[in-house]
Amino acid sequence: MDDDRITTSDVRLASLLETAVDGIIIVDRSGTILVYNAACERLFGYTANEAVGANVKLIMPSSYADAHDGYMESYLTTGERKIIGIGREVAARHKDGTVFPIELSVGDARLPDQRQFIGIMRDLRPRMESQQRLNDLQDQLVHMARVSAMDEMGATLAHELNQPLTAIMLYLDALKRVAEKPPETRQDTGTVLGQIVEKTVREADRAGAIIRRLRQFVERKETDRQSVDLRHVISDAVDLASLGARALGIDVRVEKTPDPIVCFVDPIQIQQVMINLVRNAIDAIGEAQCGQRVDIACSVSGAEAIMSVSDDGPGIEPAIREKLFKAFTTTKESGLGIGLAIAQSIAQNHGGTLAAQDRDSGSGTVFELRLPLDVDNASGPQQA
Amino acid sequence: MTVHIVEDDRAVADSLALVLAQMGHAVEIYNDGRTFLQAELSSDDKIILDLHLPDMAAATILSHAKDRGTGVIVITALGKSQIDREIPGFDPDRILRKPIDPQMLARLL
Ligand SMILES: Nc1ncnc2c1ncn2[C@@H]1O[C@H](COP(=O)(O)OP(=O)(O)O)[C@@H](O)[C@H]1O
Ligand SMILES: [Mg+2]
Repeated sequence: MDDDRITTSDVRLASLLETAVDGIIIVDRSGTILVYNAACERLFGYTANEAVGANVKLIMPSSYADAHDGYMESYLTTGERKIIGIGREVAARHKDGTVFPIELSVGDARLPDQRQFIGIMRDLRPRMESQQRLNDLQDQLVHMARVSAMDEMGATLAHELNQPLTAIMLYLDALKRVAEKPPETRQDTGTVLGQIVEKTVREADRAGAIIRRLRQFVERKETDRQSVDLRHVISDAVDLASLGARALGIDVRVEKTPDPIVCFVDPIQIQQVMINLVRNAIDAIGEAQCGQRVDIACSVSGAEAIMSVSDDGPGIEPAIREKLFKAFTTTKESGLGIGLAIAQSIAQNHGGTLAAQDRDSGSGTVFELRLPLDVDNASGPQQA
Repeated sequence: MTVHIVEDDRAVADSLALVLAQMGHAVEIYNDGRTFLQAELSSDDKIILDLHLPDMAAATILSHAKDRGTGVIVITALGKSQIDREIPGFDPDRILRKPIDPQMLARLL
């Protein structure tokens, strides 16, 4: 009878081991592998024949293998747990040398005559890959939104570059005319030429600055958080976003803030949020032909910085209020409707929030971006 | 004859004035529409008008000029569809697209 029961439970155990999706290993107190299931063969590349009887260091990268004897020893003598009963992410090594992440949980089996340890292992690569893919995808989306924001501004930019270019060409024409005058009719030619050249250079700088700002904004892809004074972030963003607003008769103003407001953020992403909000405000006013002002302000409330963009436009259309921050919500003919969705995810990634409300007085909308202050660097901002 | 430049971009207005002065013209600059409407005009004057002023529609300035019989040259960086919307029917030969060719400008004056 006894024999029968043992056989039954052995068979059960064997079939359990073989069908388990996770790798299962049993080792004795010296680390010698006693049991090594089929999932382990797939996971590590060694057959059960090769593995059973070998030390478990076989499937560890050398850095772990060296420390493993020490861990075992200290657990057995002091009971100090590094992994037993806890479970954690560790590195494993395939027969072909590949090192890869696994989740490992270890149980301590105290048999009457000996100690054995049971390890259950799961390959973490698929999970990490999909996480990585998700992160990459989000990075790409954020970048795409940035490029498309600039794309929408293409015509405006051409217009804005046209002004300094026009001035440069006219200054050069004037220079030529001064220089071509017969010497006897010239007065003070040197000074006049110098003044015109100086003005020409200033206009070339103006054109260059527009291009530089644009390039900075579009090209930077990687996230790079730093302590920055939001006042700089805002003024850079508003410079770009308000291009062309004046020509539409829209007044874009930034309220002066006397003290630095420092947050630990990716300045380009926060710029992106602000540019979106300001462009949206300009679009709203321009399309409805109602309103004329966009006000941008920044203040501190408790441990938060609050940046607000408020306009006196027509307000948000009731039909889209509910899904304002959902992707592909747009009322614009050529709108993508991803600006606010991305802006909100950027805010949340920074531990902040983005919300919209009606303006207190009159028509119009206020968008509020709240970000946690960088309290450690509250008074010592670095460059934005 | 005086050339009146109505242009809100200060550098464009300044450079334009410089070229015109070198051509031998008397020049006045106005940075917005309101200031320009107060100016003295005579029928042999010329107006160089930027199409997109912050404070006034171009059409307002055009009708003001027409009342006084003063000729207008329009300068603009805007696209054709916007030009048609702002000043429908305006003689296309008297519109200069930015960047402006000074030779063309001289010919129109
Ligand atoms: N300041 C605002 N005033 C009125 N409506 C706004 C404002 N900002 C955003 N909206 C509305 O929210 C929609 C979504 O904005 P957004 O996500 O930036 O996409 P898009 O600008 O491409 O339409 C806009 O189409 C517009 O209807
Ligand atoms: Mg938008």
